[in-house]
Amino acid sequence: MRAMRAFFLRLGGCFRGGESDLGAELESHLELHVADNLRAGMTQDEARREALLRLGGVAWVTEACRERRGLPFLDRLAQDLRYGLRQLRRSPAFTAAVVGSLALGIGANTAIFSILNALLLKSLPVAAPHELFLVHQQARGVTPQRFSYPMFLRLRDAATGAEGVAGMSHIARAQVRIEAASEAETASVQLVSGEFFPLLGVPAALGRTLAPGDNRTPGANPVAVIGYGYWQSRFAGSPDVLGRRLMVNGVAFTIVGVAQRGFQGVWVDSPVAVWVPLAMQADVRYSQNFSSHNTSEPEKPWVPQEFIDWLDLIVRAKPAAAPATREALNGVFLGSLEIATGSFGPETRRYFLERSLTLEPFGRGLSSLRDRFASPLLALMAMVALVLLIACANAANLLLARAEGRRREIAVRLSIGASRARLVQQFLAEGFLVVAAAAGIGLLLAGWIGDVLVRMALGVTAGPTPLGTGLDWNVLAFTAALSVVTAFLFGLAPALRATRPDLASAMKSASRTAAWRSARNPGKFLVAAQVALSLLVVFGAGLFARSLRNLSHLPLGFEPEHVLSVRIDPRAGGFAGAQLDALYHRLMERVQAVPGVRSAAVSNCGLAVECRSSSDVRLPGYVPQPLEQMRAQYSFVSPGYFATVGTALRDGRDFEGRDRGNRSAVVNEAFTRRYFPRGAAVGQRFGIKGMDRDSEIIGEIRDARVNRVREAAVPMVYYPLEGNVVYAESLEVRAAGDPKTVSTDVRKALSSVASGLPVTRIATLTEQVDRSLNQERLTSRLTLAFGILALGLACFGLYGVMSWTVARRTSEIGVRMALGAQPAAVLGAVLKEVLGLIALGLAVGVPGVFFGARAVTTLLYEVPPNDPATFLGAALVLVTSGIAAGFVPAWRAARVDPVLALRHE
Amino acid sequence: MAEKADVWQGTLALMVLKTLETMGPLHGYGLARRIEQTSGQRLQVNYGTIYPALLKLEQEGYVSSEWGLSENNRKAKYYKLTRAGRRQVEREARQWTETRDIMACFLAEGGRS
Repeated sequence: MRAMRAFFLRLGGCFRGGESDLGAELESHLELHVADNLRAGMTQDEARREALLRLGGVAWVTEACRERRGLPFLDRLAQDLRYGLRQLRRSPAFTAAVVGSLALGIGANTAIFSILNALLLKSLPVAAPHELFLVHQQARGVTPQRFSYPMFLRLRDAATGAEGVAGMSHIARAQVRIEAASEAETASVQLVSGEFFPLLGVPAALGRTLAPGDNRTPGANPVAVIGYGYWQSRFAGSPDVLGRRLMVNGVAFTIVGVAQRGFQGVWVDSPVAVWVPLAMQADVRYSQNFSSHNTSEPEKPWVPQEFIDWLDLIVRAKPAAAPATREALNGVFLGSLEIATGSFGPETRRYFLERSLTLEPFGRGLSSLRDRFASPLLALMAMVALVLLIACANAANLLLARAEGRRREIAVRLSIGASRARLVQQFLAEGFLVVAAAAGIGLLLAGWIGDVLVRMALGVTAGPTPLGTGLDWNVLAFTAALSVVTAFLFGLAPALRATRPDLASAMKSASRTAAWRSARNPGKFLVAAQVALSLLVVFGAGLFARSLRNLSHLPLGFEPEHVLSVRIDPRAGGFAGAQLDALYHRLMERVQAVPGVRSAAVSNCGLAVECRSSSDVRLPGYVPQPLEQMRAQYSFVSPGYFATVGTALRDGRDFEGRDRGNRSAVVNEAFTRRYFPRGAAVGQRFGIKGMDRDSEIIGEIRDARVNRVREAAVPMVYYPLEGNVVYAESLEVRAAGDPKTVSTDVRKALSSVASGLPVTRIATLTEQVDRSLNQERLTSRLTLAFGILALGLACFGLYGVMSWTVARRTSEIGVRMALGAQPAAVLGAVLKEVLGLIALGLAVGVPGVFFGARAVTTLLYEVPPNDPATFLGAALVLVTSGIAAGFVPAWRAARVDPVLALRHE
Repeated sequence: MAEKADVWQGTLALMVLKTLETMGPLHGYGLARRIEQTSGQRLQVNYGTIYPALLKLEQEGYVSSEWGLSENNRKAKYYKLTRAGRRQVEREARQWTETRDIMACFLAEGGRS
């Protein structure tokens, strides 16, 4: 406390005087002493002399007090900074080069880190996020993750030790219309229990949040809380939003509140616009991300149903109480399953009862990007770190070169008594100035880069950034730490080297050439290191590029060119039962009539959207081995679907109008290979669990990558849409030419058939397929960008060092040429040196390459991590660009005019 | 010289505080003389060292200073103990006594063996 007070006084003392006061005090001291001495009988001169002697000298006291008044360390630092600033201003080009390359390095690092932070590190903006857990079900085989509403109620009431349990649905895209506005738009809606907001500790910015009372009776509480962002963008933040009506999939809700600013839901990368009570499930026709048993009725309200699992549960408990809570939950969970499944067969019961609950930390919320991007992001982070190292080497090199120019000045200062530590401190101060400037620019760059990257990753072009990658303390601390490390990395070595007490040789000007010709020139080692590091980055970029190339050249099994894919939502449009088939007929009829459209077909899933339903296959007369997996994925399509998406029929026929229900089925080659390995599948019979009777295979189609590009074909079964009462979510349209040209007409045709049918997205199938390669494409693009950056920085370093070497050796080259050396020979000699550096770098880089590549194996698609072609390519790129960078100084060396050079000497 | 001053740094502060406690407000010169006298002339030191020490005590808030007139009508800067200073004297004196007692025990022990 006292020390702190003194510190701040001294800090203040750095900027304030006080010396005149001390002068007066010492003067009065002397006067008093002299007076005493006179009284003791000394002469005036003696008295004064004795007083001064006893004081120890006015200058000494003044100096001692000055040290004490301010903070001498700070004084010196300020002095160093001023000096550094002057130095930097004297060579603006040098400063710009160093600051620029470091800013790029720091900016790229900060950008990648800010994404990493947002996805992997940052906590939700809720109260005590470390106390939140997600209830996770563990089961053998398939992992069911959700809970039914009755189960939620039981677990909520049984959670001893916990502070509460809340239930929530997945985030749904719904048709939302603000009553005053005529246009409905698609917005994110989430259904939550009344405990959701109180449990998270998220208050309302306006009005109230949802409370347990809003969730008691199904359908009785049409109230909604809207997100802060939605309030700002759709209601301009107007306070009279309370009490206004909002139509969600055609049902009127009253807005009762706005959630706290900054809270956009528990999914970090998809902000929620509207929250409504769970009890409104049937009204808003929420029907996704659920699993049901065959005794349940998904068409009826879900709230009372025991076997429709659709809720994620969040628990708040003190971490110490979590194990007890888990025990309590498990007891109730298994106990009630035991009762509820009493009437089921033993096998089904086992399926339900071999489960257990765990509590997973939930402080960071959920993210659709986290799992997909975690490992690519770490790989990218490593790469940008390498880029920064290369930039550091450049900065160190430039500082070294400059220190070399200041050798005599430094030698003089050392010889007249400056301490080495003092000089090193001065160098470092200069380094810190450079880094501070670079970090400032880097932070600005990072905000922008981060935003662009997230948009690319999510495929979102407009609107506010979906993922908060902005600056927070994590990011700022990261950048600050990075900058300090950077400053030491590139500042310390040159500082130590330049201040080496090698006075005698430094004072003699002749020694300067010798120092730079010597093989021990550290600049050259730095350049070799840069080559090695950029080999790593370029090689990595090559691997990812090849991997992406492999992926985008895979035979898909369908032809996305010319196809337009329209996502529709008949469920949200209020269509049901027998209306559906009629709707599909009319849709296809009208769309096919649009000029430029060849054919149109509907299906329940669509392509490359990762919509999948799977079930167990049964073959007549075949008893599966114990533990044998007999799975197949199934889908429902209209006649003409395969021709429309361009999947070839290999055998048999396509569906026709007369195929209804599940009497007939089309399978793919993978299905045949798996279940009828002996011969033709067409004509054979099989059934799948959940279908009431067996089907006859009427056709076989080629394998296609229907789920996502990276996933090879799995056994597939197709049933006709007709007669199955299935919601078709995708309409595929094959156009004669560019599918984009028909998109407006198709949309018009759709609204003329059914104006209430929500169209959630229209995109070409090519775009849709590309979306499923987003992660790979983004990784590849970024690594390419970093590769180019690394290469550029390394070439810049090489160019710098060679230019310096040539400039320093001008006189030597002059002598050689005067003695008859040909320009070509001089050129060759310099280039040979360049090649030597590159070769050294490559040799050093090779082990790193193989080590680093192994770490990214899982991210690659059919590229061996030590792919020789990629390695050769990377090496070739490095050698070529290195020679290009070295050519300019080499050429300059060859053009040295011997007469001028010698006269210069 | 430097080492001697270091020894001083630790103890000088307490001497200054104690002197101010017993004598009341004093100027720098008076303090230096008084300390010399109290030590029975055994301490011979540069009077100058008292000024950085006073500055430090003032920064720490143990003493405060004010310009005034000396007994023979000369302008001088007077230092006086603050309340925190009084507490500090007590604390430091206690510590010193303790240290001295402990050291005394050790020295006595060493003398016997």
